[in-house]
Amino acid sequence: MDSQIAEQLVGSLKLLVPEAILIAAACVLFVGGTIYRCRTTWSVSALIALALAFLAWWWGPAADARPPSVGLVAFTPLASFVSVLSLGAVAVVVLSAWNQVPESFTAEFHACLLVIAAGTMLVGAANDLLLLFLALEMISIPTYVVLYLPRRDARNQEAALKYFLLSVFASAIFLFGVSYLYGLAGTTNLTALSVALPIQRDSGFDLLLGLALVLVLAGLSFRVAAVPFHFYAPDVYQGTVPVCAGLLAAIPKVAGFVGILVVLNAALGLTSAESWFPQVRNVVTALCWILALASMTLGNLLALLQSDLRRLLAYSSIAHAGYVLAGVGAASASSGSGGQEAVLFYLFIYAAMTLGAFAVLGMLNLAERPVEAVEDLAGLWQTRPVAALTMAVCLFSLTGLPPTAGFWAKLYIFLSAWATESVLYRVLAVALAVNAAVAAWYYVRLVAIMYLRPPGREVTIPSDRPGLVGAMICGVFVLAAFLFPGWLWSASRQAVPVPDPSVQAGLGWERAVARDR
Amino acid sequence: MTPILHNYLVVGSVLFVLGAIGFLTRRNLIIVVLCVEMMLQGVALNLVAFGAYHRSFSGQVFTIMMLTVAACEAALALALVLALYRRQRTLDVSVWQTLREPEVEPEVEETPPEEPPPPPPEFPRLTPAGLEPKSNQAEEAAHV
Amino acid sequence: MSDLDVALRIVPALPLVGSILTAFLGNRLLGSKSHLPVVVGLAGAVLFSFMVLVEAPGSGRISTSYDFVDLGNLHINVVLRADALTAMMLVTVNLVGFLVAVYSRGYMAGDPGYARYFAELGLFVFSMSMLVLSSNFLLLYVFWEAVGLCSYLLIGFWYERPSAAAAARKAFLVNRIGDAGFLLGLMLMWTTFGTLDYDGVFRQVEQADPATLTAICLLLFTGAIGKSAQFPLHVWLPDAMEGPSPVSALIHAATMVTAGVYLVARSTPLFVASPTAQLIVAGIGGFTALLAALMALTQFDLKRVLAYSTVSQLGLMFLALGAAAGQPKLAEFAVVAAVFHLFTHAFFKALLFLAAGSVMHAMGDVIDMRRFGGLRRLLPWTHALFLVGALALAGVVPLAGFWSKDEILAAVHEASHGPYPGFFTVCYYTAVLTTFLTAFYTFRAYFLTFWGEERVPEEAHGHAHESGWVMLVPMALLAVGAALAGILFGPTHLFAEYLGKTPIFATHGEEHGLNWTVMMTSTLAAGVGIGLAAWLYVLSPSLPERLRRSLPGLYELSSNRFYLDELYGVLFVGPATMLSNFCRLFDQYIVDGVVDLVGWVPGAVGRVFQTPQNGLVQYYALATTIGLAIFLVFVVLTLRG
Repeated sequence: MDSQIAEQLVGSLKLLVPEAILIAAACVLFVGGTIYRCRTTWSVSALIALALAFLAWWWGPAADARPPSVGLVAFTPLASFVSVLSLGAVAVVVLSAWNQVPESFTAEFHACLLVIAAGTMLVGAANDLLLLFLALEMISIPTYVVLYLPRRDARNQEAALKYFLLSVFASAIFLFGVSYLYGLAGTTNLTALSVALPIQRDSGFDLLLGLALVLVLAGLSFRVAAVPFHFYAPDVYQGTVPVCAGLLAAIPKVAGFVGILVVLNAALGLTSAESWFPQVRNVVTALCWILALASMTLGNLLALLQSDLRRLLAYSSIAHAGYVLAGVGAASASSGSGGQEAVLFYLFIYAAMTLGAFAVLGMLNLAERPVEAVEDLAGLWQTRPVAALTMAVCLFSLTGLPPTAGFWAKLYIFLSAWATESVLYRVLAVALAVNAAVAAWYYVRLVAIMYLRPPGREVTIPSDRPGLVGAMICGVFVLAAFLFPGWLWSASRQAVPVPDPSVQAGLGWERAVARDR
Repeated sequence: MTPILHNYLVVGSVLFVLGAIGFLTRRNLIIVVLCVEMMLQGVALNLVAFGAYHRSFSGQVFTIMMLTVAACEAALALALVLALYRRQRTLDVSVWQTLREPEVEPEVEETPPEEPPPPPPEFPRLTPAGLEPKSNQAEEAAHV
Repeated sequence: MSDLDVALRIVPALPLVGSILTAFLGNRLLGSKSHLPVVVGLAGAVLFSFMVLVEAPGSGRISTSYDFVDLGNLHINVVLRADALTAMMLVTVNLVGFLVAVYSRGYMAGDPGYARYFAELGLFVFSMSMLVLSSNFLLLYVFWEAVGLCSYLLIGFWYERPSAAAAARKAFLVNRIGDAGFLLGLMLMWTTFGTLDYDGVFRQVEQADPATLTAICLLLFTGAIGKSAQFPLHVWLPDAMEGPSPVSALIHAATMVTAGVYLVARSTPLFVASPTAQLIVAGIGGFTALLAALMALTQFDLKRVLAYSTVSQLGLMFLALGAAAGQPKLAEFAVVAAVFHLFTHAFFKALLFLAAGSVMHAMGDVIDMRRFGGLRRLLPWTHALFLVGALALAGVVPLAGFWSKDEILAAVHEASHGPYPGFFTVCYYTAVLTTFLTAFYTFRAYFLTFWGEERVPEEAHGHAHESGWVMLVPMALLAVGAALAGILFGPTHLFAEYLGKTPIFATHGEEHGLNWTVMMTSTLAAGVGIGLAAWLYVLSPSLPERLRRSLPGLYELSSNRFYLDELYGVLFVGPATMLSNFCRLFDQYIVDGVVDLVGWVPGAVGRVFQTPQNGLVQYYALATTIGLAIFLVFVVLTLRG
């Protein structure tokens, strides 16, 4: 081991401090939870851990000053973007889970959330297929526990079972694809992959690379709940508590899409002008087109039929996966379309608006007055005006109406699909607009029920302050990001992974590949 | 691609597909989980074979990590299976179908067959897989 | 920052601040004084918008406020823009808004949603001001949606009534259809010109491909059709009368529905370059004007008569906007005529709606004209003010409607000497016929309400009374406008000169004098209409006698007003009524049917896709695997080489 590598290793460890803090806090919570049971203590400590992790990220070297890394982790602007997103999203989940989890499980629940946050951060930082896999599992495995903990009834168990089985199945598919990617390139390092693959562009690998990428995409599409990998979503969201449903709708989706971008960038070089494997890239573009169209259409059509709130939001999340996939496809169709930044921007906004909607459902959902059917929201405007307003803002944002940030998010995806200059993608852009109009029907119906119907049963609802705060953070964010989209937009533009020739050259991978063959 | 690598890959794919078929067809929860493990073994074989082919360690490292994760998942799976068995007194995966589109009819009969659980041993039982060997029945009966 | 810059920011800011204050302090602190922030804010906005009116045309100022979106190739600033057209609209919106807010203080008093009402009203005026102040199409679109949202909220204000909730939803959905077209138009514009800025777009009109330009114009016009309730998207406006009457006056008569007219007027340079689009605008406008006037003939709901009349008058404005087809020199005259009519219409139609609201107030919320009558002694002030509005709407000299409608007729008359003589001649006679029908149905409503034997419905509980001064004074001010706005600005050419300073008019047309033929024709049409209405509805006692002698079998039909209406339908406007009924049937069964079908198809398709979702985890895995297998086969087939 030469000194340069050692230096780099130490440098990487310094940058891993936020994740380390989260994991350490999770350990404390796991152990402490067995000794001492207190809702407030453990929730507050989880929030403190998240805040410390954020401060560690903030005081760490600035994104552009970080040394380029060729090891397992790369501290790119993408990593920073995902870190902030993950810390914020998990903080909102912690707030809305505050009063939703039985007191005896609070510590375990929040510890799992912290591990999920660390896993999401690592997905953004992963520079190796191995780490990407481990980071995704760091999200999945605690999620199984989180799904199981808050309630012990048959429906919750069924939800946990379904998510577990299908998630493991999807992981296996993902891994099979990864094994072939490794076999083709001879390395699992993503930077090295992006050097090794172009060298072999004439080796007749097209078919195998295509198959490997489709398998990887399929495995990740499960996480983002895209058709036809979406079946678990409605059942699981319906069976579990709203907080967990919100978590499922936001975090795995972010991780999955970031994973897709990372893998596609390494394997196909989305930002480079000339494609290494133009045919494979065309296939991936076509697949994204199909997935996007199927997801948004099917999701919206089925959402129209739902009377259960969480099923409705589950189908809506499937439709949103379709919108984002349109951005991924646009990025794959043409490197100048701005699809990747649109995807990242959308993910940030989407996480806020969906978490906000589920947080409101969570704070209203009580054992004696469960909020399940759409009608249970009737008259919310009169009984809980602030909650109703927050919900309405989030729903308008999900619809994509101004003055909410959902409008910009949809617009950017639309524009990127339009800018590909491919007829297929322009058709997709129009389909997106039509779908958004269809989706307006069921979102507006919810708003109308909240505002225009008289309230049903009178139950005094104890106020769930942390939950309300969590929801309001999301609502205010969605409104603020409409008025000031500039910073988020430039952040997502910077976060787009750009291959760094100096790093690639420093890798010496050409020699390695040459030696290999 | 050398012939030997080719062989490994074929065996890996066969393992993977067999696992997938088992996942789709078996109704016993534990076997379903084990089938996923089988898919992972196929992946592991691929990784090791490619590692040997490229003479790099990444494949083996990946395999070890993957097995660790699989072990975690297996532990969780067993805990989950235990909890599920306690509720339904059966390992049949198809009893878990109450969450679905309300308009769709149940595919499998809604109520699990009334089968009073054997009182003394409180452990989950593997439902017999495949054809039951006939010759031993008498012997087993004698044992019990 | 000059005074004008400050004024431009203050005009929209004041209603917004008022609205926010009311929304947050309303129910708890202000209570029955919740109107104060909004009314004060609007009063200030009126003052400052007059300041803009005085200063704007000289400077042609564009005032950057805030760097909103920077998307590399899409760069959007919130840029406020002051020119003559904007200043005009700003004054109209804020003035009518202020008067309606004052009126609402009396009309809405005691309503449980008092604070909510004023908060939404303030928000609406803010959005509408921003709509006319924006200097690019995207910002315009944003506030276009925002006024739509306010309209939705205010139509559904009495949400406990199912009909109000349904009307709100209908308005929202029908508008979405138009908005989708508008949005596509913006996309096309962006890809064609690379900018959405007014000036940037208009500068490049010359180089654009005519077919693309026509497509852009028609897509923009789709948006205008939805918002301004033109055929075939007019169905929402009559239902929108479920909202409170002041809302109908402000949003669904004076301001929001004219946003479509504003959009087309603002895009004049685009439309001038595309005669096809202009012909379609004129055709749809003329057709809607006639259609809605025919529909108004058979209505018994006072507010619905006015609603159909609004649709009809908006149709006339679009007819004028399209009149410059093939004659770019006529553009200025035609657009000025349309905007002038928009301006005067805002006064007299708002007045009519407020007067109708006052009638409704007195009659215990009954609005069916068959259930009351002869109110002129009971409500003397309302009667007088309604009469002023009705005369203005009917186009009687020298009230406002006469001058502006006359300009529209003159513009269309002028157009019939251009390259499309046949088309515009038909349009001209359609417009004259509409003028006649307008006078007739307006005075039918007037006579049914205020003349004849005095009848008051029992809902009024015997104390039907004239409204208080809070409601009468705003109406009186509007009546002054309705009476004088025409003669002050029309024949003196003050309005035309002022609006001519807007930079959208590339070529200034020649002066247009008064066209006496047109004036005489329209006066005659209006006179005949009023006379016919008076004959049928005031002198009715004698009519049944004569009719009994000539048509004995029809005596029973003519024995009361309702049958008389049918009789007049058969004898005088038989074909027209049939057409009107046909149109209503068309609405009910074809247009609504299509809407229903559009709603039904997704459900049916969705039900098909529901079947795999049967709860069994292995089915899910199987479906996933099949999907994956299809993808893999697809990859193999594509990449096999």
